[in-house]
Amino acid sequence: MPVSKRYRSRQRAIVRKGRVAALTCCAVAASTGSVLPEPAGSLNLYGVPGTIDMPSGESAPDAQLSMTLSSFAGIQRTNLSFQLTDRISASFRYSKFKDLNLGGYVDYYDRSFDIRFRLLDEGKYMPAVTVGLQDFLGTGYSSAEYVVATKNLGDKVKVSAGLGWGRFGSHGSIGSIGTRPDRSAGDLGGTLNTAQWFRGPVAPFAGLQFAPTDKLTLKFEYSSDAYTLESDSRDLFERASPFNIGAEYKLSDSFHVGAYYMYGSTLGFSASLILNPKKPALPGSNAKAPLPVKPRDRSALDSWGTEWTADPANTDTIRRVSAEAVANEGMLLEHMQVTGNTATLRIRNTRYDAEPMAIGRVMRAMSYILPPSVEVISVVPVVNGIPASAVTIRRSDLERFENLPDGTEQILAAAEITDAADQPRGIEAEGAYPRLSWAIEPYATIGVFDPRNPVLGDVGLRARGSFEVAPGFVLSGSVTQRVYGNYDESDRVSDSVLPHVRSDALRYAQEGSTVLEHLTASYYFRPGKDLYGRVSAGYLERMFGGVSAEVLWKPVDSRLALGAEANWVKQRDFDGGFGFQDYSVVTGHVSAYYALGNGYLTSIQAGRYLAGDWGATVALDREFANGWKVGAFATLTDVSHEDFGEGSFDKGIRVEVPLSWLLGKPTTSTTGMVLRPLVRDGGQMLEMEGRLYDSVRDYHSLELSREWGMFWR
Amino acid sequence: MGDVLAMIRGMVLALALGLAACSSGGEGTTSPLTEATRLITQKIKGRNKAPPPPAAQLTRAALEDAKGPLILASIERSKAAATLRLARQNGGYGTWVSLDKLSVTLKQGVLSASRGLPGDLLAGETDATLAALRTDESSSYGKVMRYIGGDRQILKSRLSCRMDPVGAETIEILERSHATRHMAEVCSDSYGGTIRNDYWIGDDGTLWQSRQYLHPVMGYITFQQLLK
Repeated sequence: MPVSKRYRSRQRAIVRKGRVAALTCCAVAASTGSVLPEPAGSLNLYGVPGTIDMPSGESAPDAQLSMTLSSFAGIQRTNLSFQLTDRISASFRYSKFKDLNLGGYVDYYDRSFDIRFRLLDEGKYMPAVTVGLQDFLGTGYSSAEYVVATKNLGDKVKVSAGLGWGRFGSHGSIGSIGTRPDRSAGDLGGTLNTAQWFRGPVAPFAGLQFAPTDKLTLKFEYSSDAYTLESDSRDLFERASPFNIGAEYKLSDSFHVGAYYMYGSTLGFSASLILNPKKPALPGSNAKAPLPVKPRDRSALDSWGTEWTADPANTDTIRRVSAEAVANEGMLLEHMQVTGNTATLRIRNTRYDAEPMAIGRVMRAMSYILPPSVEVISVVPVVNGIPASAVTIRRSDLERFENLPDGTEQILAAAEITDAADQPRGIEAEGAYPRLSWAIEPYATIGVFDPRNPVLGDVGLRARGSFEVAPGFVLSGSVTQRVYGNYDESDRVSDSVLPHVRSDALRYAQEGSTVLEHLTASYYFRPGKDLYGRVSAGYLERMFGGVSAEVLWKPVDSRLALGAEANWVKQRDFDGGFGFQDYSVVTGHVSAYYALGNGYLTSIQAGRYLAGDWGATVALDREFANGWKVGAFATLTDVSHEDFGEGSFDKGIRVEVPLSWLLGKPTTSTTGMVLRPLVRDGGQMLEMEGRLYDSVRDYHSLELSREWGMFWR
Repeated sequence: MGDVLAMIRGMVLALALGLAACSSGGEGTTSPLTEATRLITQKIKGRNKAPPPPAAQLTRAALEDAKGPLILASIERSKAAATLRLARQNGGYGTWVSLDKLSVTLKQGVLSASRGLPGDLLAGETDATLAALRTDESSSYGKVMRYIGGDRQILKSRLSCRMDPVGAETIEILERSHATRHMAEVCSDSYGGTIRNDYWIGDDGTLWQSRQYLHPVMGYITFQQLLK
C-alpha cells in the first residue's frame, strides 16, 4: 500500500522495508514491510475503508483482516473484510434489519459480498481512487456501486468525495445513466447483478476526517443513501438530514470504537477488530534458543575415519541418542540410517509450524552426536507415515554458515531438497511403531442454519485417538459428547429438492448428542517418485461413510500438482451412531493445484459432487508463510439455480489461523472456519481429513523457501 | 460473524468451565482449543510465578566459584537481566546461553544474533564495527542487519554508520574497575530511523561493556563482561 504522508511521518523505524527478492524456487524470500505496525486507517459502518456510512478511496494495509460490528436504527451489520492484495479487497457481511417486514420476515437478515479495487495511488496532488461493488452477489438488497477519491491533507486531515449508484445514488442524484433494472421477484440471489452495475441515478457523497491526536478521529459526512425503504415505508428511522457526524477512538492498534449521530435523528455505534496476518499477536517466537552448531575439530582431521562403523553397537548407540535429541526438540525420530559418511533421519514434526525450523534444529542437534566422518546429513520429514521430501545439507556447510550475516541464504543455496520416495527407511527407532496417541478435550461448534436464530451451537467433550500400526497405516477415531447446546431452538427444515446431502445439517446437529465423528482405517503410500497415495474406509465424516481413494502427483520443486480422488459413500444416520440411511453416491474429482507465487494458490477441482451433480470448484487462497490462510471458493454444477435454492450456487470464504501466531509459541495447531452464505445441497464435497495435497507440500521447495528465514531459529 | 463471536464465546465458556484437556502428549495431535487452553493457562501461571532473583543483586563473591567466561546481559525495555555462559564457539563467533535457554551470539563482543526472545536479530554484520573499534579514530561504513518479520520473511535493514571516539572512561563492573575508551556508533537507515550503540574497550582490546540495539520490539541490550 502506498504510504501516505501522514503515515510516513509516524513510521520512524530503523527497520522499515526489506529488499524485494525475486521469488525463485530456491531463494530466500525477503519482503517489503515494516517490523512496526502500520496504522490501520479507518473503517466505515460497512467495514470497508470509509468515513461513516460512505466508503473512501484508500485501501487498508495489505493483508489486513478486520471484523466490524456496527449498529444504528435497528440496522446491525457484521462485516468481515480482507485486503486480498495491495489493491483488491473483499468483504462479507451479515446484516439484520429489525422490523423491516420484508420477504415474509419481521426482522430481515441479509448476507452480502463486496469487492473493491484501488485504481490510483495517492500522490503529491493525486488522490487515491477506488471503485467498489457493494452487495454484488447477494440478494442485492444493499447493492451499490461507487467511485471514490481520498486525499490526505497534511498529517491530520483526510477528505473524500465520490459518486454512487444504487443505494448510494438514492439521495440527491445529479443525473442518471440509463435505468437500473429491478431484481426480478423471487430472485434467489447469488448471481452477478451485472445489468444493474453503474446504472440508474448517480449521486455525489463526501466525507471529512480530522485526527487531532493519534487515537482520536472526528468524522463528518454527506451521505447519498436515502434509506428509502427503511425511513419512508417502514419507519425504522427518520432520515431528517443527509449529514452524519461522529468520533472514533483507537483503544489499541487492533481495537477501534466509534459513536455517531446519524441522519439527523439517530445514534450509531461501531467496533472494529483489526488483525494483520503479517503482524503476529505476539511478536517473534518464544521457542527456547536452539543448540548452537558444534563444529568438528579440524585440527584432528586425521582421526575422522570410518572405523567406528565396524562395530554395529556404535550405530545403535547413535540412533538411540539421536532419538533422545530429536525428542528434546519436541519431535519424533521414526527411522535412521547411518553410514560412515552419511546420516538420514526420518522425522515426525509435531511441534514447529515453521518447517525449516524443525529441520534446522534436527541438523544442529546431529552436530553433537554424529562421528566426525559423517559429512552428509539428510532430514526426511514424515507425514502420515510417508516421506514428504528429503532435505540434505553438508555438515561442513552447517558449520561454516551458522553465524554468517547471509548464513540463511547460503545454507538454502547449499541445501538439496529432493524427492524421498525411493530412499531406504533405515532402522526403526525404538518405540516409533506401533504408536498410539489420544486426547480428551473440550469442543465447541457453531452453526448458522436459521436466519431467524442465527447463532446456534453446542459445547462438550471430545475423545479421539489414532493408532499407527505401521508406517502409513493409520486407524483413527473421534467421539463427542454434548454437554450443552441450543440447536433445538430452531425448527427449520430443509426445503431442498435435491438429495439432502448437506441441507439437513441442522438435524445432524440436533439429533447428535453422542456422536461418532469419524472412525477410519487409512493407508498412505508412495506409489513412486513424485506420487502420493491414500486409501481410506469407514465412517469418513459426520454425514457420510464409505471408501475413498486418492492419488497425487507433486514433484518437490513443482508449482503444479495434479490429483484424483474417487469415493463411494452412503449417508449416515442423523444421530451420529453406526447406522446409515438409504442414499448412496459415487463421488470424486480430478484436481489441479497451482502456486502462483508469493503465497497465492489457485485450484480447480472438477467431477461429481455428493448430490450426484457434475461440475467444478475454483478456489483462490492467499497463504502467508506464518500459516495464515484466507481464501474464497465457488462451485458451479449442473444443478439449476432454481433447484439449488437461495444463493443459486455454492460459494464461501475460508480462514485458517495458526495458533503460533496468536500465542507466540511454536505449535502446529491451527484453527479455521468456512463462512458460507448458506449451505445447500448442490456442489458439496466429501469433507475428510488427511487429504494429500495440504499434508505434503509444506515440505516441498516453494513452501520451505518461503519460511527459510526460520532455519537458524 | 455471529459465527466468530459464537466461536469465541464457546472458547471462553470452555475455558471458564475449566474443561481441562488431557492427551497422550503428542503436541501436533492436540486440537486448537486444547492447545489454546494449555498455552493460555501457562501464560497466566507464568505471570504469577515469583520473579527470579534479579541479576543486579549479583556480587563478585558469588562469582568466585563460577568458571569460564560469563557476561551479564540486560534488556532495557523489559528490565530483564541474565548471566550468560559461553556455550559454543564457531568461526570466531561465540554463542552465549542463559539458564532459561535464551541465547545471543557475539563476535568479540559485538552482537550478531539473538535467539528465543520475543523479537530476535536473525543475523547482523559485525566486521566493519569491529574494525572501527580497533582504532581511536572516527570512521564511516555500512552494515546490514537481518530480522524476521511477522510474516516470517527476512527483513534487511541497511544502515549507514559512523563510529566516533567519546573519550577515556573508567567503568565499574561488579566491584571491579576497568580503564576503557568509550566509542559511539550512530547508524541510520533510509527511512529516518536512527540508533546509537556504545562500546567501552579496555587497553587489551577487551570489550568490557556495550549497549547495542537488538530489535524494534526489544530495544537495546547492555552487555557487561563479568569473567573473561
